[in-house]
Amino acid sequence: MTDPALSLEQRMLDAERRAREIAENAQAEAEAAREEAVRAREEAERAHRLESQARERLQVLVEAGVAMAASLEVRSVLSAATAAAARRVCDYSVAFAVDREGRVQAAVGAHRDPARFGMVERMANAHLPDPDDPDSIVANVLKTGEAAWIPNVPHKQMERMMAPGEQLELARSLGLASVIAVPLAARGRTLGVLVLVRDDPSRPFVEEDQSLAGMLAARAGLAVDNARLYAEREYVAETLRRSLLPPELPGIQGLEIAARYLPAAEGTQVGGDFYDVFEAAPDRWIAVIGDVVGKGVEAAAMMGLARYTIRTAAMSEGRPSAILETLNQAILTQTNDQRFCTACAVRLRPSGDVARATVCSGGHPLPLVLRADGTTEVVGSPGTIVGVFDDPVLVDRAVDLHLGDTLVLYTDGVTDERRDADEFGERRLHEALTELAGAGAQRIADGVVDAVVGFRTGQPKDDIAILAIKVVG
Amino acid sequence: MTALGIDPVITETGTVLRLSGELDLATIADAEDALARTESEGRGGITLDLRYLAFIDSTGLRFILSAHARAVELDRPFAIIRASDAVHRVFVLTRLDERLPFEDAADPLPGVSDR
Repeated sequence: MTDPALSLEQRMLDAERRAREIAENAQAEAEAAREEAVRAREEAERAHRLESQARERLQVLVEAGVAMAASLEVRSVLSAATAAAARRVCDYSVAFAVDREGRVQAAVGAHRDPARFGMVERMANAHLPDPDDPDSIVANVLKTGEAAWIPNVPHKQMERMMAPGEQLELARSLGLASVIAVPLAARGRTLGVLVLVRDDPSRPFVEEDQSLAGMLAARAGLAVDNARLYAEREYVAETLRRSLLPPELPGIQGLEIAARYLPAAEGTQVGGDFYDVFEAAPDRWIAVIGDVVGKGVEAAAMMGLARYTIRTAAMSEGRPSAILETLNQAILTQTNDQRFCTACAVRLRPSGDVARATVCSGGHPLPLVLRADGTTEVVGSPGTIVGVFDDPVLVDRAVDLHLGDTLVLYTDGVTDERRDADEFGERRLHEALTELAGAGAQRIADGVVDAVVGFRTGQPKDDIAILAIKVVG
Repeated sequence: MTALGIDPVITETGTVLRLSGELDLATIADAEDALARTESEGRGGITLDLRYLAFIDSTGLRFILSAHARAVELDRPFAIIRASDAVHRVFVLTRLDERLPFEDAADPLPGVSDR
């Protein structure tokens, strides 16, 4: 038996101790639970971080792919690739393209901090990689076509990689701790190199970064290849077009001749407008204006066909309709895909103060005559487009041009231009010509172009060509 | 943003492709896609409804010529519902109004007054 008094005291002490123990246990459990919760949250956050890193990596490729696909120039492809790399994978990035002879072209660069873009490009361009330099990472990648990855660039190596002077100084201030260099390749050829750099030795590139850089470079390589092909096509088309426009209009006794040609967009797509003026026989001149369907190299090729067929036909055929019939046959035999052109051919026989103009249109807008007194009239009759049907309706119409009268040939780019939904149209063309009454041929051609350009809003839709032939006696 | 609307309507006798807006170099690829789909999937005749067309250029004319040529080759009925006067002028100027099977609409669209 226990002493009741003691026992009571003891029991109270025991109870107190148990209460304390329970409280302590509860606290420890709460602590453990809290810790568990923290760990769980950390785990969740880590998973989330990994997932968002993966997402971010995918995002780099998507963004860069879109930007590069929209680029038709090698430089803008490289800009897009370096910008994408610097935004999410590295601190700064440089890209080089090589030309057909393997020479390294000017570098393009980007930095995570836009204020340092200039420094990056200055550093890269201070000394372009020498293809035979064994210390140049870029040269090695170009030579082997293999990617290079240096997680930690030793100080000595950095000094060997950079040219002494400005390049080394800039590399030091930018920081060069970790490097990846990947080839830009397409169709089995190395077209350039993409270099990614981290400036902080505590964040070296890891293997994942290299695989991401490789995927980015694969896309950039295709885009560079596309841009190069595009540039070549444009060059060919532009050269063709230039070779097809008459460099200089001939001087004709008694007539003043002027032309204006305004491509819809310089250098991007070659349009299909053409014109020509030449002597077919003594005192018999042919003026022609036309428009080939479509753009680019194919259009330029048809312009060539049209121009030379017309010149050849004019040697034996007197009537403009016969010339256009010959052209119609030539296009029909050479194409079978509804490719066509519209053309207006005019035979001119100047004689003193009068010139007789015989006009034939093959689906082309009919020419206008601006009389000396400012009145205007349409000449000719509609004819069938050239190159689709083997029995075109082509009609010759003659009109006499007197002293001070001007015959104006044009392409539909003139009348189709728009101010919002409103077309320039024939009425405005007549009005513009009336205002130009009394002006010389060049002033008339320029004046029409000015009126159209002043009228339109937005981007030009089509090429504009105008040929003005004035009787000056 | 495309300036060309293409609405295929299946009828008892074939497909009507209703073109609205601008049929030109900028939009021609969409028109060609839609026509190719109609040619391969649709049955019966093909009708191009040009009543809502606001503009057509030479690329658009070539598209219509090609559509007609293919229909003739495949022996499928083909028709074109005339565009507004402003747009139809191009077919007159090129004398394609004499070569292509134009017809007036049998069922005027709401909001389009028959001339």
